[in-house]
Amino acid sequence: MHDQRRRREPGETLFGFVLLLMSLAVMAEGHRLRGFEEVSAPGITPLAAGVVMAISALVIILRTRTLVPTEAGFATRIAPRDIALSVLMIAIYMALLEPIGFHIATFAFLSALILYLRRGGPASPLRGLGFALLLALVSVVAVHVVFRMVFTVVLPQGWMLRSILPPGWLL
Amino acid sequence: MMHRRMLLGGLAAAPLLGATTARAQAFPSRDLLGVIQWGAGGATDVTGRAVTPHVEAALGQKIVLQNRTGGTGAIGLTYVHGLPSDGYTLLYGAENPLLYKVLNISQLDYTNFTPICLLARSVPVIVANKDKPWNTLKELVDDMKRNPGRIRMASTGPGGQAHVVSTMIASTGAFRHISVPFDGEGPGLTALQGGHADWMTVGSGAVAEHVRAGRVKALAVFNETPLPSLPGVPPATADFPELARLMPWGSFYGVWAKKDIPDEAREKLVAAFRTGTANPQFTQLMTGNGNVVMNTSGAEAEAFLARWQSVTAWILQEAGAARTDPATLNIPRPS
Amino acid sequence: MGFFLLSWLDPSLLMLTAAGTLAGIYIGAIPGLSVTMAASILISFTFAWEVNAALALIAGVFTGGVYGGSRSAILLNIPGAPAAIASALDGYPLARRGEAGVAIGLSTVMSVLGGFIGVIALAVAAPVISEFALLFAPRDYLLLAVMGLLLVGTLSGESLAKGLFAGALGIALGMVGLDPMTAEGRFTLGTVQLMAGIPYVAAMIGFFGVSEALVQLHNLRVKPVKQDVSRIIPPWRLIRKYLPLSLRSSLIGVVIGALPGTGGDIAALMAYDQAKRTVKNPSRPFGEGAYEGLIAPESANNAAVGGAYVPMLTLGIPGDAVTAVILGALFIHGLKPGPMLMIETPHLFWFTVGNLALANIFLLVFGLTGIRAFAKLVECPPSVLIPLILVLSVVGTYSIQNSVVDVYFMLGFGIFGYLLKMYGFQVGPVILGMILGPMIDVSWRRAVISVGDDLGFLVEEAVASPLTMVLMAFMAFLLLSQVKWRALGRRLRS
Repeated sequence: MHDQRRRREPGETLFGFVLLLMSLAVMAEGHRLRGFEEVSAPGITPLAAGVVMAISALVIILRTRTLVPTEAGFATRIAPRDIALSVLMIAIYMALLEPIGFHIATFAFLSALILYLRRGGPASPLRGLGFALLLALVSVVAVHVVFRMVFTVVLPQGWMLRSILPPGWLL
Repeated sequence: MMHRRMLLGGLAAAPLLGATTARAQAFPSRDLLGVIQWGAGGATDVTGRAVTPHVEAALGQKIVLQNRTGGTGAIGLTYVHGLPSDGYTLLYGAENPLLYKVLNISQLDYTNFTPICLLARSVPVIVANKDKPWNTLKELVDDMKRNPGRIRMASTGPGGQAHVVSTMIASTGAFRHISVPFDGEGPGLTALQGGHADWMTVGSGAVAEHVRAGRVKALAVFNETPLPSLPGVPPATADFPELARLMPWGSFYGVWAKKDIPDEAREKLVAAFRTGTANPQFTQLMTGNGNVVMNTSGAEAEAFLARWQSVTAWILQEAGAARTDPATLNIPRPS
Repeated sequence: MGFFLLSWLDPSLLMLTAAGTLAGIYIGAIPGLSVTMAASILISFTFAWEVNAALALIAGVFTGGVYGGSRSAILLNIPGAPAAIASALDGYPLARRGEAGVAIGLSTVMSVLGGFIGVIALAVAAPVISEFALLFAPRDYLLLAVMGLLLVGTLSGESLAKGLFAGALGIALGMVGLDPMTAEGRFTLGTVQLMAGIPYVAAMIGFFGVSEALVQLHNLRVKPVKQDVSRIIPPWRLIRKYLPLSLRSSLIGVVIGALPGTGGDIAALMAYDQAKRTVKNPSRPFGEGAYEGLIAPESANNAAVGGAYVPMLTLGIPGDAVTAVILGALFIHGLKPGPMLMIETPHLFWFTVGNLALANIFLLVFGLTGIRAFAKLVECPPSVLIPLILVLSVVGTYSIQNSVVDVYFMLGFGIFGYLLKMYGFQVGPVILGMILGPMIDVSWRRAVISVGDDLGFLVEEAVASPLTMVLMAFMAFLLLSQVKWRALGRRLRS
């Protein structure tokens, strides 16, 4: 009933079906773990959760169909350029965490993303770059001090660096 | 800021250094990493943290400890196995990996590691809710035989101490009971005191104080002799002499390194841990709490592990609790 | 009894408690750094110290840490600690309205109030509370978890179906990993990495923090709201008005905190639910920045600290993960934690009570200073703040159990949570499901196994237990109160 106030976002129907698929996968795992056979099986809770998910997903899909769609497309409403590019940068950042280590990856990611998000701002491009690099550097050092030195968290050190750095550099 | 510049400097000089890194200075030339495969506050964690300062003193370097938990310890073990075999990474573990292959938990286990030092072992104690009529292990077992499927045991999951000990006792004459898995010894003891379980087996360290306070009733220690920390509690062999062939048995805590670390590093580590474990402050702590200090390494430790694995795996197999037949894993039958 | 004042009078203990509390606030505020972690590091650190000094430091860190989680929950929508999840629900909307200062001030005062209730309960009723906690059978834990899950109804937002889906999804996510009861893998796809399960703190950072950061990227060019920092310390009138609510919430906190296996996170969520059901005219609708929605969880989670000490000091049973570490610390210092601790070393008990009380006083002092700077943090342009939030999320997630796989999940949840939000879902129920799912799973199976899979016998036992019947009656009341009777009557008439 409440849904009438909202319009259907692009991709919402497809999303509903994705949710339904997830529900079925959860139910399948519940079945594999004997959820249908014993009331105390490891699969009983996954099965119950899967059934609730599947029923809700069906209701969600049916309700979505009654909504009036918005005019704009997926690329403007859900994934405009800022968001798509940011997500891409995060993905690359995470993929690089283990190979080149936390410090270098974070420095590169932070300066790149800050530079990108601040583009077209009032500052001149050169000062913008300086600001981004400085902030990234300060952040990496701060994280290193708090996490590595105080809390002895061994941040990813980069297996690519292991072969080129002198011993004693890495734990 | 300093660190960053130095790191970049190191990068620039990297091609020159690449070839010469293999010959390092005398071991250990920097901090070590100790991965604890169980959570903070648990027996493995506490034992490890209690011994480490003494080891650091003997080793001359710090050991940075971190807990990597999950998968009954398989996560921590797998992680250490993935790091270089340079002796700078240690695994602080307990008995669980010896059963990974039998219980289908992981294909990596202690066969991929070398024991640096087995620190201490705990002795299982069979305890009951204080309002229950039993006063000896025999009375409990007889009652379970009379009332099959009525009496509740708190367990800590398959392969856990309670499960294995109850299976061992059942090997002297079958009985059927309800086994309710709890998240560990502490939660099991809580349920026992609340009357939600009737009996359980728990490590001497965790239960001694509860017995002393009279909150639970100790029926027997799973050992051939009584424990000094639990005076007056008879050994399980008093009622069931045939259990002696399975003893000593119980949880133990130790330190491992990857199998192929350099000999020099292994020798240094073994020496440091043996010195640390012998520290009177540590031994007092352990024995005062009802644990038995082991301080064994090398062939003696390997033999202990092999026997433990053989006894336990085959008991589980006979009870139908093993998921992979120990025979196919080349685990010999206990002699 | 004289030991109550020990840490108040000894200058070095006084300093340590203060330092612990201050450090705790920041540990709590940084996602991924947990009090459990800090406490276990402190054990190695204080190895050679006297036991009182170590305990003073840890008590401070514990008190500060539970409170500190609300800072980042209010300012960034990233609960710094699990106990602060419920605080984000109304705290973050307050910050979006420019009331971050008021929100932090209010949460500080109410946390301290809750903390004191917890200390008082510990001092006067510890043995009674711990015996009561022992009465809880697996079936009673199940009922508690289901009661908590009813909160899905109030967190669903625009449609109940979406709330139910999110809640059930959370339960399924909570099942990932080795089953604690049979050691069988669930949803692990045969990989060792997934055996440890997905820590719900990683999901929390992803679903709350990263997804909100992505949503905020839509408003990159919008100037951040000006924060009103003119009135930080809440006026006495406001405190008096909310005193009854804070007391009710604190009592929930003490009891839930004292139960072994439940802690501040569940206490705060249940207190939030309670507030939403009992407060007739909130300052604003719940979820849009109601003061009541912040006060209830903040009082409850700090009251749960005192509660968690109850079973630890009286029985030697940890009330939660932090007290488990403290037990380990007592052991390493040569003490014998257990039921005899209070009888043989009563001074330790009174010392701890005094320490916690002192830590709460420091909490009030430190909590109310520096708020202006914190509130101004949110006025940073989003083009700078968002990248920093993302890096903080990555480091924080990694630190939970030193796992890069968790970081991948965290980002996956962030993107998925963003889509959920864009399509009109609420992410709160997912986290609720993840926290309560494992508790429901094991409690249900434990309850059923206890009766040999005989459901008839389970009912028999439940009827025979007064505690179970009271919980059942309470739950029936909650369910009935959730139905919109008036709307139903209107529909029937037409």
